[in-house]
Amino acid sequence: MASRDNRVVNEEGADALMRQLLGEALMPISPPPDLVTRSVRRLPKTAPRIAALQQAKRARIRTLISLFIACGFVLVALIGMVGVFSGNPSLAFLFGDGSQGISQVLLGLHLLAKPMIRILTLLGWPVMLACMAAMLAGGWLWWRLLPAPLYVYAEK
Amino acid sequence: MEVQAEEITWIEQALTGDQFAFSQLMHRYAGAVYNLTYRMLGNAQDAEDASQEIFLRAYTRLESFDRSRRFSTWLLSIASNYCIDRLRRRRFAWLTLDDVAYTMPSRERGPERTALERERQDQVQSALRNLPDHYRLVLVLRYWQDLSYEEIAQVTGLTQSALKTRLHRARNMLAERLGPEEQELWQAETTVS
Repeated sequence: MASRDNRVVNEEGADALMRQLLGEALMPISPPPDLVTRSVRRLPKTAPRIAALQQAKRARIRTLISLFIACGFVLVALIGMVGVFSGNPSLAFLFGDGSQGISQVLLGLHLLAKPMIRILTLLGWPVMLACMAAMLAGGWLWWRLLPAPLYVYAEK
Repeated sequence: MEVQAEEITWIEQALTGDQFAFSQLMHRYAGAVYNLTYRMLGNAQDAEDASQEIFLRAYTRLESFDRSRRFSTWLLSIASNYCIDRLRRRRFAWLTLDDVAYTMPSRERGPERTALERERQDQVQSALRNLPDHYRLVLVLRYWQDLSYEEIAQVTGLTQSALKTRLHRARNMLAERLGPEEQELWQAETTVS
């Protein structure tokens, strides 16, 4: 029985055979008639060099804003963790008395996080690390097991 | 050679901000870019969006174009990288009913030949869609864009030997997915007896 490895690697022959198998499917598809018009409309009004500089500037600003937001989240999480571990919801009370607005939201999050962190600390670091490893492995598996796009049919 | 000289003129004009000159380049390559994106992304809507984005990228990067290379190869390398990036980011693709109608065989009565061709097109497109992205790319560049091995190597950044290996595997994978008859024929013709 033949295996993949003992096939004749004749490029020209394989090329011709593949073209024969594909046949009519090799016919090109016409692009939408207004594709160029619409693409021209999207072009920047400036010369390419200036457009590239503007684009790079916008990208830098986006990165800075993203970093700023991420730092904000990390800061809130850190202060929240300190609050949970110390048993004092100080972050929530920075913004009010915990009865309304952002203060109420932060207090709610603090109260939600508290039992979870208590359970995890009760179980110990090995279990915490195992949970984190399981989550990372799950994410990696999800990424690897879906190599092709999953099509979801939806109405426009 | 004349084509290349004409393109260099358009590129030089486009570099000064002449959008009409760039639109001439777009008219010339709209078909190639659209066909590549359609075969890679698998539906008309995405192919159209991607084609527009690719032309926009080509415009903003025009100054980095090396005039000793062919413009088509440079543009297709931007298109290939864009499609691979987009596929990597896309794990869930929302396919609209318009796209489904576009890829499904027509229900209108027509000549039998047209219906068979349409069915074949769908079968090939479906087989292509099930290939890993990098394998699909070399097949599309070879058979739909009709590029030489040297050009595909330039577009993908692969060495010629790596490209031949990838193309060999890609052809085998595609033949397996085209259907039992095609697979049988492929194996019969490419296997040592």
